[in-house]
Amino acid sequence: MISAISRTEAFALTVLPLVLIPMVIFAGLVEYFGQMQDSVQWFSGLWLSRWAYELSLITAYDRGVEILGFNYDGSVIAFVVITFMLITFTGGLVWKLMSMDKRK
Amino acid sequence: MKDCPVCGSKNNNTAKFCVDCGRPMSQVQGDSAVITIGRGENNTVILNNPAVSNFHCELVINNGAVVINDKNSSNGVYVNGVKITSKTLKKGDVVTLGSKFVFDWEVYSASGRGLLCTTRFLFQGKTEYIIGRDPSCDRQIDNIKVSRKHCRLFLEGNSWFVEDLGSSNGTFLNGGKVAKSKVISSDILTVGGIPFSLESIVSGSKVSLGETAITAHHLVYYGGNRRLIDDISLNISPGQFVGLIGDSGAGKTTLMYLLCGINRPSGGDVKINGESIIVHPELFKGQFGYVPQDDILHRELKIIESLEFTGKLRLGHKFDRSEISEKAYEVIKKLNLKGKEDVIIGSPEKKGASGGQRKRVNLGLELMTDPGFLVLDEPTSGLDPLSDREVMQILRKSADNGQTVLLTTHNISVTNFKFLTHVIVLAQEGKLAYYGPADEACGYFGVDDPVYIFDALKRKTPDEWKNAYRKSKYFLNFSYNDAKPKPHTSMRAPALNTDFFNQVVTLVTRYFTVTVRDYERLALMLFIAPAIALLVNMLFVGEAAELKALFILVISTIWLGCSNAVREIVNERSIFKRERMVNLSIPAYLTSKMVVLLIFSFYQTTCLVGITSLNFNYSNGFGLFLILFYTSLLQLSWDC
Repeated sequence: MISAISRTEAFALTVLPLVLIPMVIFAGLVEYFGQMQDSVQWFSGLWLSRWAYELSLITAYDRGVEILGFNYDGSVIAFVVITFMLITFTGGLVWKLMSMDKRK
Repeated sequence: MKDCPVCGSKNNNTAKFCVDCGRPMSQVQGDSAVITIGRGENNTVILNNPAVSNFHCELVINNGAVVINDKNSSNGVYVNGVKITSKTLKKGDVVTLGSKFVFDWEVYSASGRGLLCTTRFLFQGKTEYIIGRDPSCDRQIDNIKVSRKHCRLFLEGNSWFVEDLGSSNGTFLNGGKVAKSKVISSDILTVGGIPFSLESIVSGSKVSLGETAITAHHLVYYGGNRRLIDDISLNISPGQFVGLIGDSGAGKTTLMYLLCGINRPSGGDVKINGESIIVHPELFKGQFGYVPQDDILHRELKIIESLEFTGKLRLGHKFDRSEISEKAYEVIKKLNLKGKEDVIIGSPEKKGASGGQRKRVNLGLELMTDPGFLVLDEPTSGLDPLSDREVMQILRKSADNGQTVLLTTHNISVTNFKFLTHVIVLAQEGKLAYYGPADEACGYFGVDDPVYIFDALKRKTPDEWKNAYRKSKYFLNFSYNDAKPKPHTSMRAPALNTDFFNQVVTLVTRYFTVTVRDYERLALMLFIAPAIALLVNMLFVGEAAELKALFILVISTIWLGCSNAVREIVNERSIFKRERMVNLSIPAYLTSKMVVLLIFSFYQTTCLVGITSLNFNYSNGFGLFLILFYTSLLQLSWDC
């Protein structure tokens, strides 16, 4: 999406931190997920890293998830959210590419 | 100026086919007329064959009745197999001159236009013609859209038939695809987008690359509230090499975009061989070759690879590797690039092909599909005079082969003007100041060197130029096409490659070649994931660090995916747009991107999980790998 929306490479590279830094902040470790305010918890749900991190933790280890405030029952929801994001962004990408050859 | 005998449209005197209905123009017209037929040069219809006498016979047309008289020919005139000296012809009579020629005739009764009689002669020495690209064919057509053995014309009884020989792009008769069908002289047979008449095949006349006539009918284009193109009509015939000139901002590019269907006019119409490109843009995708001003090329590829990949992408469903490679070498030869096949295209910053060579490759991509109509945006800007001339020479050759060529240019020196057959001069505000022969342009503007045409343009207002042109003789000959065109469908564009898997394979191969060619970047991409994994192993020790280590893994996966993907589409934007105009499928394009990027993601995820698992005790390492890989897939669609 970012690459397709950007008109120049410089623009794409400048926008990138805007996406990547929240990924770091909202993943659930820098600030423990459990310690975020409710509204922030919702907001963190917009970022892929939060779901990917939760899902990876649950899969990789049998312990430690509670410390961060994640839940062992969360894997299905995380998977569904990631899949939903995948469909949305792929759809957006196709739409953007299609709109590029509209005739003026 | 002459009228088409079938639909009555105005055509250039040189037109072989009517611009509106596509019918051949070589018919004889009149309420009453005498048509003489023979080998001598003073005949109405000249048949240059030893079997025909100097003055063989005459046709007397009087109020619709057609009488044929033998003029003491050596080999005689036969009607329905009976030798005659004089006879009134009925519809369906088969006339033979000597034993060699079948004389095919037809009488039209076009209301209000008198009676028209078409005369055509079919050489009957052979009764079968194989048409195709293979040199062994009776009529070889050197065009990539024609199959090796495309179709067969044969005589059965007194009628000619055409039969498709399993060609890839099909054989079309008057616009309809046929397997086998009877052919009469007024039919137009289209093979690989190139129209023929029965006569042109059996008489052995020269076959040209394409017969694409473009007509613009009262084109108007508004940008916002400003009128950028002001009521422009044009007749461009096959084989014309037209220069489009005008001051900056006069609307050259706008007019060019309208003519090749990139932009949609606010009013008026553009027709190719009589069919509107606005109503049926999809029919003409393969018939246009639009060459953009910037060299839109993958700079990492070799010249030959660039041509081959474009060939495969556009025609790969019908042609195998060797055929496309053959075609690419043919284009290389045409472009005078022999010996430079393996030069990397490069860019001005990175050493590679020279500017002139890049321009030629840029043009070559379009030549791969032999389009009937080549449109070029400033093909020679920024070139030294020698390269400039070379490009013009190549284009002139294409035009001489029957392709229609239109280019915008700023270089209007005397030398450059000599290559052009016609010029279009635009005054400000998109008003047509002149469209006519290139060598008469100076006279029209009252200057002695074409470079002063722009100065001359400033002497009158654009409107005055527009009105002056409407009163000139050129207007009637080149611009006037008010006749109501008949719908016509004889010249369908050939099928381009729309096969999803074929496109994906070509795109993946090309994308892979491009990526691998950039050694430094490739090495870095391969190095970075193991390096991060090793750093993680080094820094994080013991159970307490598990959460942090995994956090770094997730972030790395996302981050690496980003840096791979985010440059992709934005960097290829212009290439994407150019190929979209031809036949690129968006799903195929995206799939190809995903396939290559996922191969890298696969490698990177494997490294990250594999190496860190030496240090950390994952309960489900494979599951973790799958999740991270899935994450990177999402990341790609986000970043691409």
